Amino acid sequence: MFNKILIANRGEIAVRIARTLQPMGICAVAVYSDADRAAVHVGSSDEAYPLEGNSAADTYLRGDKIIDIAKRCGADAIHPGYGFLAENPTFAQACKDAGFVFIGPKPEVMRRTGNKVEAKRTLSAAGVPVVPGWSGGSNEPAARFANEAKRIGFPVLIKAAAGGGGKGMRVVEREAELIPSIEAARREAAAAFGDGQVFLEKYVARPRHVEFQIFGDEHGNVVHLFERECSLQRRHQKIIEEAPSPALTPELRQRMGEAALRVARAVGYTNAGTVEFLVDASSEFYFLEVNTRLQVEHPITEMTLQQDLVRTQVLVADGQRLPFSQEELRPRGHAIECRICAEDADRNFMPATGTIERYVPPMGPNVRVDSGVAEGSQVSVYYDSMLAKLICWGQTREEAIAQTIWALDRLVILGLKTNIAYLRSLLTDAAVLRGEMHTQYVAQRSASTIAGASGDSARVGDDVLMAAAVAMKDGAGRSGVAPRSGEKATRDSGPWRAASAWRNT
Amino acid sequence: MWRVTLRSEPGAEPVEIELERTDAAHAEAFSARRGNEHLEIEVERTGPGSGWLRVRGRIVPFHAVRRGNVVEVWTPGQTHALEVVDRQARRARAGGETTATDRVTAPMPGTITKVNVSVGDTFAAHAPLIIMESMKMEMTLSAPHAGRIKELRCGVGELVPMGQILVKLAPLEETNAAS
Repeated sequence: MFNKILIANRGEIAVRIARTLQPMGICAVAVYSDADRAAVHVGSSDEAYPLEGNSAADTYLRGDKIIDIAKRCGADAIHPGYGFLAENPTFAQACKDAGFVFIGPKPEVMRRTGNKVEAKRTLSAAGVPVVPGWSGGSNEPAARFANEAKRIGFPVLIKAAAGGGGKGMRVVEREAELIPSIEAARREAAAAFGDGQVFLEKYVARPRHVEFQIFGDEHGNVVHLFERECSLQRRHQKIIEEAPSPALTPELRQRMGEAALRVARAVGYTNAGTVEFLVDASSEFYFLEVNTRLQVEHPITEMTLQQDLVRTQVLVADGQRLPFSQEELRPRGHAIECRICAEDADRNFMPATGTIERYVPPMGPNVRVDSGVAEGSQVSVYYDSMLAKLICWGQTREEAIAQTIWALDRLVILGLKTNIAYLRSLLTDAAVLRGEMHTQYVAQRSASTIAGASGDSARVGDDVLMAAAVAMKDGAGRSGVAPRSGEKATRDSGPWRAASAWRNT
Repeated sequence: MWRVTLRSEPGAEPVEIELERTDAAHAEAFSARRGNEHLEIEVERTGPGSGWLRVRGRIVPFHAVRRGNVVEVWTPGQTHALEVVDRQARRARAGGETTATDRVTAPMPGTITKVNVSVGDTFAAHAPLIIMESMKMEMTLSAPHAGRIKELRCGVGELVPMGQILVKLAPLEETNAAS
């Protein structure tokens, strides 16, 4: 078993991984950028080393720096988390070459599945249903795309071959928009993944996004850990996920589970992965892509199966057999995850930056918070806007929703705009309560909501005004004038902790 | 007697609240007045800016922080940014507001990734002028109307704060008059 694992990530996922490693008796090593020197993930680790620099490209994407640190600190494995280097086969190979175990699938499997174009081709041949589309080379003239788009039929979807998370993705309704959209998608893909190759796909209207967690070991065992419904998305990024999916009948679940296993076997999958499917209105499903990493939304699977997926990743990476068989995996109850992001729902989900002045997470028997922030944390423009994940469990879907609303109502984040009120409004939405979601639902709903998307426009009640007045009185009584906006914040400058300006400084 | 005037959002009626300390055995208690309405409230504090109120028999936990003339308040299920109204703030607002159509500002903090125009260029309404990126999300900033670039205040690769003026625009009429 490993003695020391380097976590090549930041934020909530780095914290979450350390929480599994430490009780296993494994030393958790953190790395951090200059901006993250005082970040929660550093404080949650046993050892931490600087990456020097701020941008992702200078820090968490620098495989060479990370491997160098792993050598210096004597780690025996590297866990990449999600994002950054998690699906980079070159990095996985470099880890292996330097003598470290990369906690994830083999580099060749990542290559096979990481290129979406190639993955579709392979899996279609293995009998997995795929969405019709067209893939050009990396330097295909734009005119060629126009012809193929006409053949597939508008609207079409442009996607990055190396992509994920909605980056480099564009829906094109008309031929006139195609060329500029391809340019933008290539630029975004090149910036995000270092590979500007894009491809076209038929745009399936109002699909659901349903994915299956898969796991494989090095002894030829593969299992699926059932599905997650991830249809509530804004700008192609998931914001609320749940398990099980309210859309699957036992029969459809079985067929999709079998298709997921076929994918896993076709590519020789080991460690944790996710097979994403689109499900259309008539319950036809299509393979979308394989994510060769731990997913952001893995905790809902952990809650319904009572399994620790990070622990399983470590065991499998150590060469051990999967600790469960397909028959032993029986999901219980319903789990929901909300992604708490620093963003302004009333201004088209614009990212917000600043300092977290107050942070109080909810607690309870069926409430889990995976967080990468604390009071005093700086939220900068350099990284993702997700601050924390709130995961709640209930015996039924209704109970899980009620539990989630309760927890959202008790999650305190002050100092910057968050989407908490917006997430709450989605969980009281009639269509969502009926389980009738699709991937464009959030966008359509925002467009038709007149009083702003946040759901926070309710009249300010007496409670709020009285609380403000009492708190103000407290402040006025104990210190003089509140500090000017933009002044340097100090942790203990009187009852009103000074706030730095909203903008990043 | 302690008094504060708060505004729930820009343009809303300011609300004046008065707190008058009364006697209570185990808590700080106030008689509060909001307009013509009187309320008895009790307060327990758990830390600076945090605690709970007892209002009309109900327990209301709260957390609050102050940033300049804004007090941000959390109560269960709600977070509000209230404006603390004072004379100075009111004067500043009266003079300051104009609808800016003569500029394009950064709607979010981020990095400039592409500048499609140079000084003197004319453009049509909705033309994409600048592309910026924040938290790995790309955003195109388009022209609010047809016009000419008067001033360019950003370059590719530059990190800009929210609200920074990126380009100054002249309307097309002005352009025609000048030529």
